[in-house]
Amino acid sequence: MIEPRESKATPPGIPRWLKLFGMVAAAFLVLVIILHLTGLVGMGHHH
Amino acid sequence: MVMPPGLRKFALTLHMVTSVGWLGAVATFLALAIAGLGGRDAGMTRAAYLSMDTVAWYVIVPLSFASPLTGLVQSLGTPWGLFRQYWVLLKLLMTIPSTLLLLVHMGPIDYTAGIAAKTGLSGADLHGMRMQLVIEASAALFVLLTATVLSVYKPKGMTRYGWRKQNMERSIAQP
Repeated sequence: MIEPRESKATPPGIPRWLKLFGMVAAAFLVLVIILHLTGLVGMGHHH
Repeated sequence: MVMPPGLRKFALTLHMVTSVGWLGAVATFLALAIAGLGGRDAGMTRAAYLSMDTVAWYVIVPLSFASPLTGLVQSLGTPWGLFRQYWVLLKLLMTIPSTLLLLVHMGPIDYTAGIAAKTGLSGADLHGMRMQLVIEASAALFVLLTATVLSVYKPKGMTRYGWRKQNMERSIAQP
């Protein structure tokens, strides 16, 4: 079983994969907001 | 508190079964949502939305509670911890809001299923809401796939809290 380990003496920073994930998540949120604002997706659109 | 190996395996099995089951149920829900959206036949559409309601209430909702709960047990009962590694923390931050959002969106699912049961749905009926179900199920599937990938790859990255705890434990072990 792999165990978590960090050997450096200095406090760890935010890993690169997490920064990338954050950017993708932010882009996705913006897309969702745009879709809602333009009325393409959302509740209450009973045609 | 670290669990003994036997209990740890059992907890891991429970967490895997509930998490992958949740993923599979959401994939099924998405397939039905797409079938319901594109269905020209009222009978097919009615069947799709009624099945979605049943799958959501009896499979997705219970698993959306079971998966984070077994995950909590798994993280707190192993050296990984809940706040020590970014990947564990990220999974928590993704799954808890997903469960809450699911509960909020059970209303539109019930509503659509109710209308489908009474009148059947076709063409443009409730199109916005039906489209929303497809998009939400796609987003949920993406979140759950991401959580699965994180669990398998366990990308490196310790939080400051995890780092402090690790140093503390080391200093206790080697005075």
